[in-house]
Amino acid sequence: MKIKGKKIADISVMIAGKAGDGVLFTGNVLAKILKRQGWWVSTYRDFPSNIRGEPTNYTIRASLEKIYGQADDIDVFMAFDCGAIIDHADKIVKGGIFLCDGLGLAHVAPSRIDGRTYHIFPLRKLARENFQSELYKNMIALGALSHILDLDFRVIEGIISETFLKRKGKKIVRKNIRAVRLGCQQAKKMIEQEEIHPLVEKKDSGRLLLSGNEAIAMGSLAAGCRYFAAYPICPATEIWQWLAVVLPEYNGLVIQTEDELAALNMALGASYAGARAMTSTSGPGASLMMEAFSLAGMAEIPVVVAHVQRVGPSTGMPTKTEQSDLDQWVYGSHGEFPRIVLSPGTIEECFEFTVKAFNLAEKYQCPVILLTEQDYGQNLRTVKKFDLTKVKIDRGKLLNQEELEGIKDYRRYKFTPDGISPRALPGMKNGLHMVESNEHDQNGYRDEDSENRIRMMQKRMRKLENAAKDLIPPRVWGDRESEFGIIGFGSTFGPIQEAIAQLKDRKIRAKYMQIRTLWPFPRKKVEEFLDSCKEVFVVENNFTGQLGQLIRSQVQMPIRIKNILKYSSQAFRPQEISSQIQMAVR
Amino acid sequence: MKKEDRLEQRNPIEDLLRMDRIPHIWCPGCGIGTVLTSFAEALRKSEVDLDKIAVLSGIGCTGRVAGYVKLDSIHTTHGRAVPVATGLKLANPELKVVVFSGDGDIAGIGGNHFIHAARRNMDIMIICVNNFNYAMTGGQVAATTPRGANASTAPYGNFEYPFSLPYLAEASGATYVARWTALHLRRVTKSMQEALKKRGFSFIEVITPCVTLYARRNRLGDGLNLLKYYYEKSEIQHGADTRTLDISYQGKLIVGKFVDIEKPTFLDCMNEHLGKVLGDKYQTYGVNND
Repeated sequence: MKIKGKKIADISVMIAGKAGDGVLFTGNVLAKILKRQGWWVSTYRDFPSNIRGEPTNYTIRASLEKIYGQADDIDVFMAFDCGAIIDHADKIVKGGIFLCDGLGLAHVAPSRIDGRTYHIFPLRKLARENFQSELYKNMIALGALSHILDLDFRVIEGIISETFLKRKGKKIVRKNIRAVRLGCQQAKKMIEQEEIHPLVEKKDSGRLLLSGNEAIAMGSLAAGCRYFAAYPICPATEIWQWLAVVLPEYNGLVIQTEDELAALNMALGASYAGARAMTSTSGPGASLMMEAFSLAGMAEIPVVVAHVQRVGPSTGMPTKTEQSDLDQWVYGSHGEFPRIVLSPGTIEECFEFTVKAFNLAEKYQCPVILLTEQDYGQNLRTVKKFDLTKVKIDRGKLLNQEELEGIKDYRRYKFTPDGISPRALPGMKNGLHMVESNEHDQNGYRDEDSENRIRMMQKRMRKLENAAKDLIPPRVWGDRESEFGIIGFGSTFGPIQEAIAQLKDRKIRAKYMQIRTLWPFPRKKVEEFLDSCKEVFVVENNFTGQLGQLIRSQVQMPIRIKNILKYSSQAFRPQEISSQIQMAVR
Repeated sequence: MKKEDRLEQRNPIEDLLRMDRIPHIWCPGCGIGTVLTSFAEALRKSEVDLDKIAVLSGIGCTGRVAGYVKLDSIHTTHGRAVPVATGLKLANPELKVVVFSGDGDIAGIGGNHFIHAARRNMDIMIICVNNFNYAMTGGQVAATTPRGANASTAPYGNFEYPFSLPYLAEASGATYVARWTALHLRRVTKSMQEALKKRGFSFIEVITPCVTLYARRNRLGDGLNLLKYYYEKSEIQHGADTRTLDISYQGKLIVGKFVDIEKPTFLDCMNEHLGKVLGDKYQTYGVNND
């Protein structure tokens, strides 16, 4: 909770219950309201891999400043059942407020423990008595929150109509609005004015509330992707669900494949035909894709794979977050071939890097991986509208019919100084060619001659040697003069930024390098950064410190780095990073 | 030899082959070359635009076909010719897409892709050369090896039930299903011509001799002995119930055209359905909307 004047400038609201209670729905409506009131929003879902019954919680954080992740504490807690109290009571900040459906308990006077106020708020009872259905508990809860946060009622009404009008009609809209009002009135009776957390008033600035998965889907549409093949898997499927709705209106196609082997192979087939093609997956699916990943490398077929990491190994925890599949894509599959692995850290970067991924794939005729995580893959954050004028399409050395007719003896894998051979498509005149998964000569004919093998390996591997100018460089944040460095990739972006601010308050200055291209590894820039630090901390959501290992294996200088690791299936909170650094440097 | 004589000796299907790749790798007595000849013949007779044909193969002896046909072709990894073909066809519906591969590739490692492509009625043509074993890797037992036959990984004989490929294809949704042996050259060609014209998932199984491995291991003689077996034991039964097509070791081979039906393809279904649901918002796929 950050306070500006008498009002709140940064707040976290957790809604908790059992899967099926409508936690996600209520949270999403609240997130939309806060966004519409002009706040920066970041949500955090902690939900089980099942449809009904297990505990779930959803935190909606809003701030006047741009935020990229969860805060350290919870300020307002709305629980649909008492079980949630036990699980989360310790996360409630002093001065925080706690509402819980007593599930039929009689009215109990509010109690104050350690500066927190606990209220029994009979959500289900109110819903049954007033609306003859427990379903309305969600809107009653929202009403109570609207009192606590002093939300703008016009905004709430607007969002409820948008949510229900089309699908359910006017009557349901009115009923839901009544439920919100009832929740608000009841909360007013129960909660004293000095307990509430009124937000600073702001105006809507037309931002979008998006998940990383949606941003990747939008990026791929903007980049001209018109073929999407995938197999269902948590937590990546939203990319596909978004495209499934949109692509039919853009002369595009989505297909649900029989497995992930087929998904990447179909994308390769479509790309071979000339389409910009993509697939998305997560842990176990990526393992099945390893075979075709290598085919893309050998046959030099451009393709984009969005991998939204979840907790492994094996089935692991499908709906929770981790950064443990870096090794899989950087080192994965059989044989050696060029690949590009990008790691967006924000929703904006999910969009930008997706566009970039398609360009890189076609320019370098190799597979490009967008490595993201469940954390910002499924959670929502506010972003400024994307600037579509910045979207540039580069199809690399793709030949058109006229160019192809000017070529005598077209060779698909012609040796060139940069290793990239002009690409014809099947069906084009004068471009007869063969694409081979075996080692091949310039014609694409299978060839087991050692000399040819050496030249072909060099040709393929040469492609990325001079690619640095096109790749996304690491970005340095924080106090550049500081001697304490932090390195991270992906979702740690938000918590590290906030950890740096917390350290600054404690008179420790630190800087942060965000690695945005994991492969080819930005060796020089990382070496410069390491060289400028007395001590370096690598922050990762995994057990073995995969980024740390990658750095150690790539930089050509003696280094000392310390890993700050978390593998609890949850994303970092800023305090977890700042306190470990503080302890280490003091 | 005079130039004219050499011209006379030109192979009639040379125009359809990458002659710089010949001689091919197949063993004497192997049937794959025969099936490829039929395919070339079918292409010639069908008068299709060769620029609009793509051939895909997986891995194995038959997988090498993609490297010999003078057509745009892709030699994929083991078992994955069908999904790559699906992607290719959907991204460029103008192309006639032909998968030319072996039984191990289509029915073993690629079995899942095969049944799902048939289920979707994907508009691709599959030629499956069935030689009852994994030949390229040294004669291992396959999903098609008849019970009792010996294989390098079934040294005491195979006791597993094999797939009946026409039955599998029909049950999965194929719109054209035929089975022949390498002896039925002209009938194979005719089936291929029909399949090239067909819109929908078409499947042709061709039983061929594997002399070096299957025949030798089972002491069945040479290529000619196997062709004699086909001659003696094959029985043409067009329209036969595909449930009756099981192959026992050196037993009867029921061949013929079993299925030839019309059914909307994957893209037909998609265009019809989405057109109905989305109305004017829908851009018919595979049609140039510019």
